[in-house]
Formats: sequence, structure tokens, C-alpha cells
Amino acid sequence: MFFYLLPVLLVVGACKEQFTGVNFNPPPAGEQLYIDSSYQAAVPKQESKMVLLEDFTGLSCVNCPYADDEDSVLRAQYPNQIVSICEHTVIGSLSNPYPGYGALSDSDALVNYNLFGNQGSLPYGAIDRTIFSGQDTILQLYGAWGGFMSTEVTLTPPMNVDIVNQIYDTTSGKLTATIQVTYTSIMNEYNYISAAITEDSIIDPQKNFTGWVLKYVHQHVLRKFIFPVTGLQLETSGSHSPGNIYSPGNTYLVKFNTYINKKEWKPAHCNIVAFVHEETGRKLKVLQATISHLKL
Amino acid sequence: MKRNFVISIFIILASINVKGQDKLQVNGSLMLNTGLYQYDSSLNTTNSQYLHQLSSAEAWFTINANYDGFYTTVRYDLFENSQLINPNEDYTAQGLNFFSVTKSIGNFTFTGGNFYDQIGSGILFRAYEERTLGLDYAMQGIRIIYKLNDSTSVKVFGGNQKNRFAVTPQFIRCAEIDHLWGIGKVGFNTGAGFMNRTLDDATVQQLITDINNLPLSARFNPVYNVYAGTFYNTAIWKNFNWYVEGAAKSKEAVFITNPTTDSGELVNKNGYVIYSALGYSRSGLGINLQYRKIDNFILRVNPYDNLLVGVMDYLPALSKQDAYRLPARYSISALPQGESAYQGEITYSFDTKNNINFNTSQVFDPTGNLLFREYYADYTKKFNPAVKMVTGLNSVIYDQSVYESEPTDPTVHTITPFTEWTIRLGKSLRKSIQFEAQYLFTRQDVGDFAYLEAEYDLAPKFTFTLLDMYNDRPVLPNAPKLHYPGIFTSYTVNQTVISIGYTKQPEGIICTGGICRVEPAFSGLKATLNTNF
Repeated sequence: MFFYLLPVLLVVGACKEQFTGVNFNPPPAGEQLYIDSSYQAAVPKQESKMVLLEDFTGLSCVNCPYADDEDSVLRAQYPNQIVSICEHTVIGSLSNPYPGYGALSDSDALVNYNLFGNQGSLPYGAIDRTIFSGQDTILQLYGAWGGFMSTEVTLTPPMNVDIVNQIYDTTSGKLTATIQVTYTSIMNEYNYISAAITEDSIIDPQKNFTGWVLKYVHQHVLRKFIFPVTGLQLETSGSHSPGNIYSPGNTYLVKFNTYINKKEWKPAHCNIVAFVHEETGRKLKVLQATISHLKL
Repeated sequence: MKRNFVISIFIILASINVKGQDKLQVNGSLMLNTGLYQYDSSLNTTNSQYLHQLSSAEAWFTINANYDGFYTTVRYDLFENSQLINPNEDYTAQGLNFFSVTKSIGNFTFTGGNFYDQIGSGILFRAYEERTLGLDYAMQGIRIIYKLNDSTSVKVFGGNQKNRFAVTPQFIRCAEIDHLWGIGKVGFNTGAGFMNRTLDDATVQQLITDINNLPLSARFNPVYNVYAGTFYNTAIWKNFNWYVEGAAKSKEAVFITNPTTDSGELVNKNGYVIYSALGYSRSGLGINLQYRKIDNFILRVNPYDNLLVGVMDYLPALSKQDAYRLPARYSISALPQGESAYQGEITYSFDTKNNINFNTSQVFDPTGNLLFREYYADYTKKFNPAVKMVTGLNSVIYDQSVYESEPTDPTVHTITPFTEWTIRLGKSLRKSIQFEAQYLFTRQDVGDFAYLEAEYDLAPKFTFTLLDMYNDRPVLPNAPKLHYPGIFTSYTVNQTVISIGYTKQPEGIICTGGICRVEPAFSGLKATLNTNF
């Protein structure tokens, strides 16, 4: 029997894993998200919960406009409580642009789509990157968004997140900003911060069931995630009780430098999105999000 | 599902007709521990059991049934406010925690459910239970053993490691071949083993995120699979026996302690272990020499597990398992990240009444720094059938900063003389008195300790024990000289042993079979019941 096992072992040994997810590329020149400082501050008043809605979509995805509509309905139902990112994802031909027009897909969107449990089709959405009760994946069909959103907006976030001190150089396109994170509750697991640039009002053809809509208005389109895509860990700092990683009053000033692509984007339509999230196995939950229009 | 499985088994067993009942064999055991906690400010006992629950219990109730070649085991576990698994928690849960069915057909033996097993000496893989440490690394899966002939067997199994009442999501596969053979008068037991563990998606995703937060130069692709293999051989010739085992594992993401910064690091490393034991024994003389080198041989179901959680292999400390309390105070565990260890032991009997035992062990870190050294010697004398004495000396160098993760603590140096006298009483010699006296000299850690114990044994039913451990010369000035007394009694009736006692004990390391963990300080009442039926 040993000799029957031997070729099995050889085959197993010869198989190689395919790797994905780790970024070996240096950050683009001048791009970086980093912790500038941390300190202990007075515990501030708790801000309202802002839910992150990530809509994975594609230009040739005929159902995707319905997901856009659902996003608009929810934003009207919960004003100033939803931060939306439309992440154009390369899934087969669903991301193909109209002939002669440019694509909106971003490679970071595919990284996230795979991380959240690739469903192989579009549209799918992630609400605060949460696996809700009774579900086994982060990604949900747009018909279910409303139900999950109704509970998510009622949560009390354990920190305030604000974007401050934006400086944008209109000549070079360099953007520098600070994200201030101040904890209002105890947290016992490490948190991460991510930041992205989105753009509103992009006119680009979109396919639906009747054909191509040539002047479709795309909102909240992901232009880039600030490096690193999977988030920067907020190292323990400041005063905290034994056993806690973060305590009320712990404050982090997270800075980033990035460049706005003035040739292809309209800076006046750009936004900075920032959010704090967990990273514990499958639990990637977003705890609080914020958005700020790019100040020219 | 587990409940239905067990009910089905018992329905099958219960439906056996009268003719078949004489083939049914049932036996079992019950092990029960319970504790009542008494708050003691001098021991700094602030666990919730002392402040709130005031009691705890653990129980394991096992039933084994054997009918017509079907061997079934079920075990019901109970934990109430228990700190056995994790000294810092009060764990409460109960339920069916072990079930298995084994059936032999021809040269095959099949097992489904939970089982304990190992590959080689356990260096590569071992699924085992150690209740005194709160460890239960049972597998849940399928095992197949095939006997090619009387001297060769092949074993394969696969499944998940248990974690309390659940199973971990990582899958483990193992295979082993074992062969007995000889050349002339030299006998060999040769074997090889293979292990593969596959991580789950969630763990790999977490690794990716953490790797992406590393500096670019430190990043690597985390693999789902780790592969490990081992080759072992025992050679027996006349009075000599020689065991050699070499094991290696492929690269995978592991957390190590950076020796320079003393902080945790996520790295991509492979590893190996080389172990050899040479023994010689004849009437009156036994010599045993062991050597082991470990290089980054960290095998866990999940790289994020720590301490004794999720351990897949068995690397016992290469040091003497001291039976006496004070010599055992500074016991070590093996360091999977890296160590070189040597142990030598000589046992010599001058005659039937006098024998000596000498043991030494030394452990070095990968850079050659001494981490542990022990010299142990004892002399046993039987004056007559009624009086027996053991006297000895133990000396230890113990790097507390490494073994207890206390970077600022100095290395501990101890000298511990001890003596034990057993005096049998009465014409039948069924009664006995036993005295123990030990003294640990050290100017590090918490200082000198004295230990006295007296036990009165009324075989076969009763024993009574009085003991005291006394911090005679604390290191810190003005530190109180604390007593840690204990009074125990046990009662044995047939196969049942019941013991109850009141004790205080300081925080320390408890080791069983070379595996150690921190035992918190205790103050209160302990009662145990052990029975077999």
C-alpha cells in the first residue's frame, strides 16, 4: 500500500498553491497612509453611525443600475448616515465598457471582492463588511440591503472618525489630509483604518436590460484606495486598561499623501472616504465611516 | 447530530437479543473534580471564582462498549466555572464531547468520530488528552489502519482538531508506515510519517492583512498548506537500544519571538527536529542519553493560536520530571522556536537494598546561551522491609525570562536537598507513615522555601496527609513569610477513590509528561472522585 501512496505524495508535493492578496509593490511614489501621532484626549461626544455601503458593479452588468437605484433609495431613507463606494470590479465581461469608452474598473475593487467572498457575478454589496445573522458571506444581493441597513444604522460606533486638515495642490494634484480617530468605547480587538478617493457624477455608458445608456451618471465611483488596501493597523497607544487594546479617549492622527489624477478625474467631484474596521478572520466589520468632499 | 449518532448507537446496543448479550462488554469511568474558593489577599487570588462564583467543577464520564468487534466510546464532559483550560477565565459548558466507533474487518481497522493517535514519537503529530492541564487535542475524523502482515502496518487519518466542544476549521491529514525487521541479532522498528494541515480561508485572509502591514522587505505569500515528514528508527541489540528521529516541515506563516527586541514577529519559516535517545540496561544498571535539536518547529492548527492552544505535535521538555514539589518548582517546557537539549541519566543498584540515580539535563538557545541546567541525584536505601529512605539533592539554573516570558527577571539558581522516609507499621505492614522534608535555597524569584509533608496510609482504604510549604527567606525585604498549608484525606472503596482536602498553594508551573502551563495560586477546598466500572 505504501507504493500506492507514494505517487499520491509525489503529486501532492508537485502541486503548487496560487497566491493572491499580498501586495509586493512599493506604494506609488508619494502615496502613503501612516500614523502621524497618537495621544490621550478627553472623550468626545459620540457621533452618529455612518454605514459603509460598497456596491460591486460593472459597466456591462445589466442588473447593476437596479443596485444603484437601491443605493439612492437608502440614502434618501437614511440621510447623512450612508457612505457609498461603487467599486467597478473585473468579473468576466461584466466590466467591459462601451466600445470606444474607458473602463471604470479598479484592481483594488477586485481585491476587496475576493476578500469578501467572490460570488462570481454582479451586482453584490457589502454593508459595513458584515456577515449578518443567518448569512454566510459579506456580499449580499441588493434586494436584501434595506433589511440589513435598517439594523446597521442603529448601531453605536465605538469611535469618531473625521477628516481634517485637507491640503490640495491644484498644480501637482497632490492631496494631503489627516484622519482623526478618537475612541469613545473600549475595544479588545485590533482595528484598522482604510481610506479611498471616490468621484461623483461621472458620465459614462452603462448597460441595462434595454441596452446601453450612453449618458449614465455614475456616483460614488471608487478611484483608488490609499495604500495599503486592506487597511493600516492602529497600534495600541495612549492610556488603556490592561486587557483592552483601545480605551475611551485614545486618539490617532492618521495622515496620507496621494495624487488626484487630474487628466482623467474631476477633482471638484472627488471625495475622501475613510473608515475604521476590524480584521479578525472573516470578521472585517466596519465600525465607523466618514466622507469629506475634496476641498479645492 | 452528535446526539442522534450516540442515541443510534445505544438503540443498536439495546436491541441486542438475549443470545447476543453475553458478547456485549461495557465499562466506564468517572473523574470528578470540584473546588470551593476562599479569598486570600496574601495570595492575590482575584480570579472571578474567588470573588463571585466561589465554586467550580469538572467531570468526565466515559462509557466504553464492545460488541462483536464494534468498539464504541462516548464521553460526557462538564465544566462549571472552571479555570482548568484557561486560568484566567470561568468556563461553563457541558455535553457529549467524545464519541467514536471502531471496527476491525480482516486486516483493516476503521475508526470514525473522535480518536487519539500519534505519528512516531509524536514530534510530527500527536492527538492526546491531559486532563490535569486541561488539554484535549482529540481528532474528529476518520482513521484507517491496515496490517500488511505481522510486522508492517500502515495508518492514515484525517479530520479536525477538537477545541473544547467544537472543532477547529483547519483540516489535518496524516499517514504513517511502521515496519519491524532485523539483521541477525539486531532488531529494528523503522517508520516514516507524513502530515499536512490546510488553513481555512478566514485565517489566510487575516494573514494577508497582517502581511500587508509589514515592511515590504518582510512580506511573503502565506500558504494554506504546511507539509511535514518524519523518519524514525529504533535499533535493539542485546542490552542496547537506540532511537533516532528526524522531522522537517515546509515553510509557512508562524509567529516567533524576535530574540533582539523580544517582540512577536510574523515570518515565513520552515523547521526541523532531530532527536536521539541511546539506552543501556542490564540487571542493576540503566543508562539513558538523549539529545534533541529544535529549529523553528512550530506546528499549530492556526498560526494565531498561542500557549497550549491548537498545538499539533508533542515536544516534551528534555528534563527530569521531578516528583518532589520543590525540585519540580522550576520545571521547563520545550521551546519550539529553537533549542538544543541534552539529558543523561544513570540508575545503579548496588544490591536489592541500595540504589542511586543521577540525572542531568542542559538546554541552550540557538545562539548557545544556557537556558536551563539541572543536576539531580538521589540515593534509595531499604533498611528492612518496613523502612525505606530516599535522600537526594537537586540543583537548577533556570532562565525565568525565557520560560516565563518575564524579560526583566534574573536567572534563578537553586539548590534543593530533600529526603523521604517510608515506615511500614504492623505485622501485615499495611499501614505506613511517610515523611518528606525539602528545602529550596535561592536568592532569586521569591526566595527560599521549606516543605514538610506527613502521610499516614491505612491501606487499602484511608490516607491522611498534612503538608506545609513555607516561604522561609523571601527575596524582597519586608515581604511576608507565607505558609501554604494543606490537609488531605482519601477514601478508597473497590475501584472508587474519593479525596478531599483544604490547601493553599502559590502560583507555579504544573507539568505533566513534559508539557507545562502556569497554575494560578489556589486557596480553598478541593475534592475529587475517580472510579472505574
